Amino acid sequence: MSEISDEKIARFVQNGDKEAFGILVKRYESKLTRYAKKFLLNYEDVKDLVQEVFLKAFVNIQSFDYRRKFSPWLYRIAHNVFVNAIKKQKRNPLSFFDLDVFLPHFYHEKAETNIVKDFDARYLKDILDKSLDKLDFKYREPLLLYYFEEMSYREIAEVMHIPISTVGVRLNRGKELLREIYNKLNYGKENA
Amino acid sequence: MEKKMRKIKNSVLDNVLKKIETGEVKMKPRWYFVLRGILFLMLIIIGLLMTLYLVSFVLFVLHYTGVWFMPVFGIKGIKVYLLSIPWMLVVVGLFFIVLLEFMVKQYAFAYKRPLIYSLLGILVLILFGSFFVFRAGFHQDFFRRAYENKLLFASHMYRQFGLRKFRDIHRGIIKEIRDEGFIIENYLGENLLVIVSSETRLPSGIIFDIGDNVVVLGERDDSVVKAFGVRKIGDELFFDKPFLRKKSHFFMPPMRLK
Repeated sequence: MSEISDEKIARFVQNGDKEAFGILVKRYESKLTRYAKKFLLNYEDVKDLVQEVFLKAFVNIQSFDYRRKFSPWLYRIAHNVFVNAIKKQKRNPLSFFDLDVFLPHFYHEKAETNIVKDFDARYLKDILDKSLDKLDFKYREPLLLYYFEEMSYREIAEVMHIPISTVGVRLNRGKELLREIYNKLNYGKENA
Repeated sequence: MEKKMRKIKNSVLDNVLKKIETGEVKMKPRWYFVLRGILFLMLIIIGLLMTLYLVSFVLFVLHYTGVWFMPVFGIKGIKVYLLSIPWMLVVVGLFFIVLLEFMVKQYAFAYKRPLIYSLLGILVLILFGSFFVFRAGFHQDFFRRAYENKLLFASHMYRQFGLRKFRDIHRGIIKEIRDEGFIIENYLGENLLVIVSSETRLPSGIIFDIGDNVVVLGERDDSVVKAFGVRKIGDELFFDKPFLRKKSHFFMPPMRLK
């Protein structure tokens, strides 16, 4: 079944093959666990949340349109579960409304490579991993989805329910913040 | 040890499959989502219709009472206009628009673009739609029925806002021309003497005549109004195309006309 696409497997599940859902769980368990750990940080019951994501996905699988990609649909459920977990914690208040989803931005996905021209992209994932706690949620999540889950802007927009141009803006701003963190860390090392 | 590790590792998979097999979690049927989608769409349509009704009612009230025309009298007119707008209805209308935006942004076509686009789309739709409903004369007929106690809904609202009295705004039909001005019969059926002086702002080249529909800005003292400005508003402004109604351009309560 390894060569069969997620969408086809989801279709099997929709048609009553409940066991096929196990394949989807196997395929996404580690990815979602990683996503949860990096998104939530210091959250103890990550495994419970990931389990909740899969159970919700199963309950709502009939709402999935098999002509579209499965992963953004699943990550959207994960996003909602994780955001609810954060709200329950009340330690990290999420903003109710952001102006960057309201106004248009002129940003293109292809322009991405020029943004980090003076910043070595190879280190970005590493720095991102070490600096997650210093980043705001609204920058952290698109960076995670882009660099770790390797999603496109369109898919990130689908997961976060934000405009595609806002994804670009947040990634750009997130990378700028990472660069600042990177510079600070390097400065600290040099002084040590 | 290895077996134990594998068991821990697969606990999410095992738990999920176990809950599915035992029926602890059940898949919602497809019709549930179809029905939910339809209901949500219906909710949006109902919200849209309610907003159209409310905003067109505000337009009707503003026009019917004469508040609509106040800005033509300059800064003083704008001040009176702002003070006379039924702000409560405007706030409720805005609340409905925000609510509509929240509902619409659940759809991919809305959230994938900056929200200002969908909000502007809703605003344009509401403004054009309300203007159409207003011009169609539904509210005029509803108001007439409310006055005659024949309206099954919102009759209090029509009477409360449609029969509002203003100190500075007077809309009516010229009944008699006098040396000092003219007498108008307002939409409440009252006769008011409008005093026109050299300080009164009048449109140049316009001759007032009996039967003219006018709006007057001026402070009222008993049944005398010292006019700051007078404008002939005529039938042509909004009710010249009776594509849905054939009655007079503005309803006069019949009891008071006698």
